[in-house]
Amino acid sequence: MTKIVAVTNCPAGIAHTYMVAEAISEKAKSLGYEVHVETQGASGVEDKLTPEQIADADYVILAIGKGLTDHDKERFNQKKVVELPVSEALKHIDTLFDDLESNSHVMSSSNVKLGGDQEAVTEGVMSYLMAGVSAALPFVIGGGLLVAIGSMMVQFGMPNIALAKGTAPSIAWVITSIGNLGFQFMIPIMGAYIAYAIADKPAFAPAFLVTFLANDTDLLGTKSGAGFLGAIVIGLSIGYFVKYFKKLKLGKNFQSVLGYMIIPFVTLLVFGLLTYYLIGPAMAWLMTVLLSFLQNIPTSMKLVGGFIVGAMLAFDMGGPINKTAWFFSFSLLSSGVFNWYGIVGVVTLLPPMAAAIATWIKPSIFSKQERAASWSSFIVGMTVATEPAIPYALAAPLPMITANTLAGGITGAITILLNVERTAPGIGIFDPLLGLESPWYWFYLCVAIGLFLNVSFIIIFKSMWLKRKAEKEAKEQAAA
Amino acid sequence: MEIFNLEHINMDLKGNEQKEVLSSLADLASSLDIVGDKDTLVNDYLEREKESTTGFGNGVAIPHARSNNIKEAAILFGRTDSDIEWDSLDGKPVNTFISLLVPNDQGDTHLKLLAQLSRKLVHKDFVNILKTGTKEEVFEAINDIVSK
Repeated sequence: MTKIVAVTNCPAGIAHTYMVAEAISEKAKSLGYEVHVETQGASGVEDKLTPEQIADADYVILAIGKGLTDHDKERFNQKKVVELPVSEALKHIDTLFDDLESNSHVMSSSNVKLGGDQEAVTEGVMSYLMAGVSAALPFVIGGGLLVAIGSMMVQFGMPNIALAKGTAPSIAWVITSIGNLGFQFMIPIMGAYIAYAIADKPAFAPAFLVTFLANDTDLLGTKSGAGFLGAIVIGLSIGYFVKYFKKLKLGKNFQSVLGYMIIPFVTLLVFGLLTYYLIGPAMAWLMTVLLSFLQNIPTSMKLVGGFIVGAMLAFDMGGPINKTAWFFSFSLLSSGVFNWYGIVGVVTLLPPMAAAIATWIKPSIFSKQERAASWSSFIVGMTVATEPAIPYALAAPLPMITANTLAGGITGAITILLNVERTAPGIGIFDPLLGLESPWYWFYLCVAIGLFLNVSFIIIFKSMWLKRKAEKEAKEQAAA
Repeated sequence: MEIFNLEHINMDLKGNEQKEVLSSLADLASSLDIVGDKDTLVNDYLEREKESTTGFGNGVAIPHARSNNIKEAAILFGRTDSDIEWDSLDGKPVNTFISLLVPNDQGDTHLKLLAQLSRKLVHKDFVNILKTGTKEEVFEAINDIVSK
């Protein structure tokens, strides 16, 4: 029996999407074909095609009035596809099925085979986080590579002169500074797009500005910004806040300015003040508590201390917990204690490199974008920054953060046990070659063990997490 | 407010060309307090027709709009005496109109009802009632779908 799957959508999403869906399914049934039609209308995606239905289909009909996203098209990679405007489908419904074979072309949206790939999530918190991931990745890729180039220029002897009155900055400094903008704005962009995915345009500006504030140490007067976990919290809170705010009925005169004036103004005021007076001090307090906790670990309990510092460094990648552990280790340098900073040298390499390696070993548990970002993540991760791991963590917070933290902790303990010492910041994995980290053989052993653990944990935890998520969705669909 | 009742039907829509008919439909919507501003609705209708015609053949068109100007989801029905040029899919002029109006933030229940109604429009027996039935028959047929 001929099997057909189809997708319909239209500009308003209230009429043609459904007329054509019905027409296709009636016509196909009258011909004795098996047919499944996914509608992408105003109330969202209904009758979503399952990977099995798509795999089994002989032909795919895309009757499209407002385009399909690349990710949507990828589902039909290597299938025989008939693509036509939704109104044409309605016009030619009687002849549409006459010559599917010659009217179809084999879809090749990408050369990557996506069998069993991570499914696109279209609803729920995870889809909002994914919107943040997509937006943030180019920032961290572009910015990260620039920072890596700048740092290497300096390490290989080029001058590193900052902008100051009367001095022209060096090219290495300029490149690094431009690159750092990528890291700086990655966080507010994440917060902004998470909120945007929930509540559309009115949420974008306040979420961008408030996340920027929460991550700006100068404005907040703290030693660390709220990091990517702060972006998640702020993005989600503002998103949901605006979503309900939008339902407010203000009457004819004010309704039209609700979206672009009243909502951004009120939301920015409320959340800006909350962030300034609550999140800022709360983070400063958290860091003080954690720091005194670290300082009070008895020196006899080196292993435990190493584990805690390693775990903290890997936990929020640039957030307050990471910064506290870094600050603790770095401040010991001035007293001639180098082994805690040795942990920093090893553990901060792990999350981005491990995420990249995991995408190569088990591509099926990552999205196409995550796979595409892997090389940049690997190179930037092994030289200058942990930030490239953030999008991977945002895409699957629970398994990725657990894997990173656990691997970081164990590696931290091993590093302090082997007494790896680091005397100054350098360029990551090349530090021993520059004489900044020693002994070199223990350093590389620690990195190797850390990567092995981190990659294994990522693959195990994320596979489990995806499986559980798929089971849950299957159950919900069965119930619906 | 109900999404559809007898007052939403006008078997004698005024107009000799597309814009006039759309304007009459907008008058009806305005008199029922479904839209904030009548002219905005006419513009929204026209914008939608520009994207691609809503005349889906057989003398029937489904002009529709989704905007913040619309207060409540509603269905309007009308017929004109004369045949109106609508650039329809089958090239034929139109005299039967079913209009769907939806606010931007419309909840799911109403959207699902309208989706059901849209699906019905590709069934010949249903379209025949819309084209030739009396006011009461048209009401029955549509209400049957959306009052569930």
